[in-house]
Amino acid sequence: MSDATQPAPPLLEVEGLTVEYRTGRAWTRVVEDVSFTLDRGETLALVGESGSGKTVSATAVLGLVGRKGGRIAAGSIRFRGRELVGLPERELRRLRGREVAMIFQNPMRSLNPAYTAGEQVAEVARVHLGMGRRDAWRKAVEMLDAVGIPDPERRSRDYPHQFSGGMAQRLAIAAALCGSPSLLIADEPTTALDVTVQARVLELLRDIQQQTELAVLFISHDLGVVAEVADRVAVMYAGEVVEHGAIEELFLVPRHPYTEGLLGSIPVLGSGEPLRSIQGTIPPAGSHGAECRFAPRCAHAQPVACAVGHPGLSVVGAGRDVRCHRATDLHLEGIAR
Amino acid sequence: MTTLLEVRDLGKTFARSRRLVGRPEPIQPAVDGVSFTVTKGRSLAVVGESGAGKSTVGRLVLRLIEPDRGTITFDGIDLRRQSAARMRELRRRMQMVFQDPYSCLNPRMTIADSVAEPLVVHGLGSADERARRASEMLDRVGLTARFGRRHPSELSGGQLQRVAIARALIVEPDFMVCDEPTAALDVSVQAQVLELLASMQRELGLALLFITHHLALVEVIADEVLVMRSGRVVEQGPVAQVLRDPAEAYTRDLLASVPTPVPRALRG
Repeated sequence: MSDATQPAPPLLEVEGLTVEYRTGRAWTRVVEDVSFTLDRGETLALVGESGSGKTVSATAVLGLVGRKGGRIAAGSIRFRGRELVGLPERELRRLRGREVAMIFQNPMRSLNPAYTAGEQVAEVARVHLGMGRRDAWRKAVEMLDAVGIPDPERRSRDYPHQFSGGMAQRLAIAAALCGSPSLLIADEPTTALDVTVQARVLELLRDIQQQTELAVLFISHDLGVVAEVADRVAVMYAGEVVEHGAIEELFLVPRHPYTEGLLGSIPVLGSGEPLRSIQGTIPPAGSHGAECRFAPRCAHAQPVACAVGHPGLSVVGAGRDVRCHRATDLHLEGIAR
Repeated sequence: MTTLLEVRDLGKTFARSRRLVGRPEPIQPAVDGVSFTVTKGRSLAVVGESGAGKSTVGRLVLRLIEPDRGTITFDGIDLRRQSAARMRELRRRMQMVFQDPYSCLNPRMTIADSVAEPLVVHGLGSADERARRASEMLDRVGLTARFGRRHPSELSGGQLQRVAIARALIVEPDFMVCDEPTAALDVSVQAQVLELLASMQRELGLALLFITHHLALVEVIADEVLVMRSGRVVEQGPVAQVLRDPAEAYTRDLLASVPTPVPRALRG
């Protein structure tokens, strides 16, 4: 219904998202004022260490934070322009699987051990595509073939435990994509895999994206993996987005010291250089004062310049935002070209 | 350059349980004719994909599982001829760190007690000395004294791996097997733990057998590398030589699969 003069809204628009979890009597803020957009065919990576809030932000999109004692305290999540926050569970359920699907680090989490590979995928076809038994089965075998599982006809009768880690992840991808969703949330999908297998699964995701205009929200702690798949990156730290930008810019000229540290932590084959690691650990949620949350670990923090309250996210270029008091005077080290 | 560990023609085949129906699966050796040496104070990386037999090699070397054949000579001692009691004594000098640090820590013990425990096992020092050594060791791996009073469940994965390293090093070993010690950690934390291992190795003159599937780590931590596939050695040699000029196609494939942290649009 979009009018010719008005551009269609982005596929996914998250604005000012704040998520809290109950800890005893109080609510602890684990995600604060997070905003991002995602268009068709695009891949946005949410990057950060464990505890940075990246997974919580993504599960909020699926309307799943309430399940684990959490709540969306503020913000808006619009999918194709439609507000998801406050939508009844029945409507959310229709969205999940059909419009938005998710894969996890452990593929077994989304697979039922008691059903064969074919049955898992066929179930999605029946529920979300309204197919009959026979068509659903045919569709399932097609999907197994499409994700590169060899001999799909025979493998469709095997159970998940009979698949290797990489093949099980392919199976989970087949089940996730069977309903032709327009958005896939991939939470560390290759972290548990060997590097060789990881490379093949990432290649599969790219191929699927080229063919189907699938949008992917890719969650990872590893910028090395993100370099393989993402168009844009939002770096998260202690519940906040600290830097956002196109992947090439962010890798070549990081503007936040945390991004610089994450890049320096990646072991690079043939670099001959020692790793530049970030000292210290991420603070527990809710323990932050009114200052910059990264300052205690920051190699560039200054006693005066960085003690002037909590830094806001400021625009430093087209589609480029940074949350740092020293954003304009720092020259940080990116990857070598 | 003194040889600390010499392994010759190591072999191990695990017995498969019979299947209920159908033909029994053919038995393939997990480790087949593996030989290598580790020099005092140096580091050997064993790399390969899942199922290559690299973890089995690590366990065989310490006789945590018994080899079927081959010899293991540690500092001139033929390990396979040692009694169980003598092996326990020898293990003070040969430690191991696992992928999951939680697996080697008692959830009910404080961190300080866990770190001191190997001293108790080997009957070293008085209670006071042990406590002092444990707090020194925690300090060396970058954990402050307050961590000593906590329990494993209160620590992050990276902190627990530091504890596991402190626990392994407190008995002043000459040799340590690290089996994918950073595979379950965030990249940033992995960098911290690798830095710690490298500095400990330098300071203590420790020899390492570092098991990993990630070839980019090899350059950071190892002097020599051994590439395994299906229980056999594909290629071995100095890190610089094997990584820059691999002789085997399999090694080249492994190298090609290592992700480059360069966005695709910027690659030539």
